[in-house]
Amino acid sequence: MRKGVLELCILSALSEHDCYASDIIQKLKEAKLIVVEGTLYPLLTRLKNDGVLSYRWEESTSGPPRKYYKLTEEGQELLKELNATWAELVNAVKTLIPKK
Amino acid sequence: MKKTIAVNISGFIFHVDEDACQKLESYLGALRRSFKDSESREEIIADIEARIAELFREKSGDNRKAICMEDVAQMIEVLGKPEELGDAGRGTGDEGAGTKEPQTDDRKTIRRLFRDPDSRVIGGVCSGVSAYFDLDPIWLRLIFAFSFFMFGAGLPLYVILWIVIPKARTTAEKLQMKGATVNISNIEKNIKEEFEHIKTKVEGLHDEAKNKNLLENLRSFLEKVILLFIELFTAIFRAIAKITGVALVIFGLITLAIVVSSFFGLSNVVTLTSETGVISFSIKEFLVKFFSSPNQVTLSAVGLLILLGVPLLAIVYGGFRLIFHDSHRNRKAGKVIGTLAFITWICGLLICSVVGAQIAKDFSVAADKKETIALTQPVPPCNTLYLALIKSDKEDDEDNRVEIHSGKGKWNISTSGDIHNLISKPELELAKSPTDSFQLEIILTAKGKTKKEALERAANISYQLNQHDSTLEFGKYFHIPDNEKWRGQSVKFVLKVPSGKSVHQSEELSQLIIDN
Repeated sequence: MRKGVLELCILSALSEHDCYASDIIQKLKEAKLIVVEGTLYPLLTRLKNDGVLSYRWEESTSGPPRKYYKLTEEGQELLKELNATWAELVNAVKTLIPKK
Repeated sequence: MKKTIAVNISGFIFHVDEDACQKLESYLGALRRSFKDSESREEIIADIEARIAELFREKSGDNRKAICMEDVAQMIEVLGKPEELGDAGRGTGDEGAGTKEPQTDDRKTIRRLFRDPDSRVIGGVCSGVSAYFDLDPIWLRLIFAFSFFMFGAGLPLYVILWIVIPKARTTAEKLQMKGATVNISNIEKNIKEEFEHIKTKVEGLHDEAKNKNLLENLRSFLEKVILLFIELFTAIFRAIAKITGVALVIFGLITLAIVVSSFFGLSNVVTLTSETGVISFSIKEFLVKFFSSPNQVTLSAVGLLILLGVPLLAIVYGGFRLIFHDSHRNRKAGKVIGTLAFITWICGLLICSVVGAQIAKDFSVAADKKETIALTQPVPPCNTLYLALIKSDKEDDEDNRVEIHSGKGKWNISTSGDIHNLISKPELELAKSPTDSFQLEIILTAKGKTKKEALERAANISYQLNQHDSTLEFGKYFHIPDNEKWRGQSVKFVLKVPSGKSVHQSEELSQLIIDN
C-alpha cells in the first residue's frame, strides 16, 4: 500500500516550489511520514535517474552547496497520475470504512 | 585531552575527535556497503555527506568547535542506521527498488540456518535446511518421511533439528535464511575476512608504533596487542569449532545409524570392546540368547538404546550447535535438553543395571559335568590313535554367522531358517593316562543361579563325537539348543594317552588343541 505514497508526498512537496533535501525532510517529518533522513537520499536519486526530477546547485551560507530539486514535465505528469490514484484509493477505502 | 583529526567532508574541514572519527568512518563504510548494488551509490553517498557536513556545521558553528562522539551519534540518529535505510527503501520502493535494496551486507552475513515457518509441513525443518543448502525441499521431505517409516530412525534427528534450529521470525532472519550461499568458498571467504580484519589491525599497530613516542604509548600498545591476540584466538577457535562441529555431526549420525540398525537386526556390525574381549554381534540376536525372559530382552534393549543413543544424540546436537550460531534462544533450550537427556540417560543406566544384576545372578554358580568314556583301543601292534574333525558342511556356512568373542572362546550363531543356535568350538587337551589304555574325559561346564541349574544346563550341551576303529572324530562345534540361553557354557575334551602309545592328529584338529 505504501508503494508510491512516499513518492507522491515528495512530488507534492516539490510542486509548490523547488526544495532541497532538508526542506523535503522537514515537511515529511511534520507529517510524520519519515523516520530517518537517510531514506530520502536514495529515493531522490532514483527519482532523478528516472527523469522525474532535475536539480540545480545553489550556494549555501551554512554549509556545502545544496541540491535544489525541481519537478520535470514528466514529474508533473506523474504527480497528476499519482494524485488521481490516491484519490481513487481514498474513496475506495472510505466506502469500506463504516461511518460513525 | 583528546586528539582531533581534520577531515574533509563535502569540501569542508572539520576537526573530529579520534573516537568520533572512527565511528564516522565505520558508519560511512556501512552505508557504502548497504548501497553497494546501486549504480548511483557514489551520488547517494555524496548527498549524504553533504548533509552530514551541514549538520556538523550547525554543531561546530564558526568557533571551530571539535566534533565529538555525541555529535556523530546524533547525526546517525537523524540520518538513520544503514539497516533502517534498507528497510524503508524496500517498503517504499517500486520494482526499481530491487537494485537499491541493500543485500544486508552479504559480505559478512553468511546465510544462516532457520526453520522456515512460511512453507512448513511439520516444523519447517526441511524447508529451512533446503533453503540453507539450495535444495528443493521435496527431496528432503521424502527422505525424512521415508526414514520415519524405516523404524523411525529419522524421528530423533528431526526432533533434534526442530529444537536446535531457531525459527525465522523477522524479515531480516527470513532474508538471512536465503542469504549468500553456504559453500566451501564462502565459508573460506568468511574465515579469510576475519583474518584479514586482524591483519589490517596488525598493520595499523605497526604504523601507530612508528608514529608515537614509544614510552608514552607502550601501555596502550600492549593493550592493543593483547586485544589482538584475543581476537586472533577467537577467530581460530571459531574456525576449529566449525570443523569440529561438522566432524561431530558426521560421527554421531553414522554411529547412531549403526546402533539403531543393529538393534533392529539389520546389520551385524556392532563391535564393542570389553574387558573380556571384542564383542561383535547383532544386538538383537545376541540379546535373545542372553536374557532369561522376553521382558528382559525388551527392557535391556530399551536400556541399551538409551545408554548408547542419548550420548550420540547429544554429540549430534553439540555438533549442530558448534556449526550454527549459538543464540541465546538456543542456549536456554540447550539447558533444558541437557537436563532431560541426562535424566533419560540415568534411567537407561538404571534399567541396564537392574537387568544386569538379574543376569549376573544367573552366572553366579559354575558347575562341571564330567564323564569319562572308555575308548575302543587301537588293536596292537598299532599303537596310534588317529584324531580328526567331523566333516560338516552345514556349520561351515560362514555367511549366516555372527561372532561373539567372549572371555572363553569364540561364539557363533548358526542360523538355519528361524532357528538360531549358539555354537562354539570345544577344547581338546592331551594328558597322561594313569592306566595303559586310551581314555577320554569330557568336561561340560555351565553357569546358573544354583549348582543344580548349572548342571542341568551343562547336560543340555550337545556335542559330537564318533569313533571308527582307531580314528576318533570330534565335532568342530558344540551347540547350545535354541531354547537355551548362553550361560558361559564350554566343552573340554581331555584325551588321556597311556605311556608307550601315541596319537596322530589331523591338521584341522589343531584348532581345538590348547597349547599347554
